[in-house]
Amino acid sequence: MNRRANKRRRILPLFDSIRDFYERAANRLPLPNVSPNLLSGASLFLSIAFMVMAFRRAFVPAIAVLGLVFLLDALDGIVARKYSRESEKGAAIDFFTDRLSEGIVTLPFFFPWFILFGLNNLVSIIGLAKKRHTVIPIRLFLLIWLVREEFFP
Amino acid sequence: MNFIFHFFFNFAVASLCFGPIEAKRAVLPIAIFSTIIDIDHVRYIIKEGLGILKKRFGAKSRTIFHDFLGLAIFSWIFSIIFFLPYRAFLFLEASILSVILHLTVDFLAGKAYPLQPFSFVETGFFTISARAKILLEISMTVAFGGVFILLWL
Repeated sequence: MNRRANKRRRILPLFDSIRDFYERAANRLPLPNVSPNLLSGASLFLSIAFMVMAFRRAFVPAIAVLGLVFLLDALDGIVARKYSRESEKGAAIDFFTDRLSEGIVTLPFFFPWFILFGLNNLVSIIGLAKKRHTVIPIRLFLLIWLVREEFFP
Repeated sequence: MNFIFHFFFNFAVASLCFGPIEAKRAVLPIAIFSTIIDIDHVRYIIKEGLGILKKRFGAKSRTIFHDFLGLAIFSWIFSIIFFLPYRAFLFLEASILSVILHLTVDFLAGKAYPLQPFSFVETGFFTISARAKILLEISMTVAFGGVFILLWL
């Protein structure tokens, strides 16, 4: 137990410093003062567009759309923090849109991605019960896998 | 949104994903899984009686099956079905698509408690009047009904 706690103490500052770096970089960007929920909603629509493209095997535009989904997902939090629009409601919307988006984007590549999505839901529920934000970044892994399959087969 | 809209919309998206012929083959799972989630409103209808005409379906009419926990439960059920020896993959994909799109549309269109039972924060994307919402719902249902007829013929 003590060894695990020590490991956590070593790893967490690394994640925090990476997060701080990209937050500081993002804060310098001229981002518009839009509702972060609007960005979350847009990422859901784009996820549906990605799913249609992936089912139709148009992988190159699909990768571009998934990249946009990922960007919007990152931007909603950054915009909320930059313009002090963070709220419990926004966090709930962000959480559920992310899970819905993961379900939509993993559907065309059923195995193992959709199974991973099911596993991620379990991890998220445990996180919610412990009041901790714990998720597996499935969409990031899917994006990396798709880029590798499409451009470096 | 009403269950007729869900069916029309999900059929249109399924036609885009799988092609109109395959979507026609999977029309039964699409119809079942587009509407089955709305069964959780029955409890609310019985409780409210005629008051439902005034109150409409708000966040309180939704059980966990309309929110994150429901999404997780469905993802686990479908993941288990995937490993069964006798399954029609098209029907499985069409069923998941119908469930996820139903949850997505209802989340975008109405008020919800996305993280219940862990948190009862009420969320909503659009703040439009009840009258405008009804008009929008009717016009969307008619529009997607037209799309359904065109795709079916």
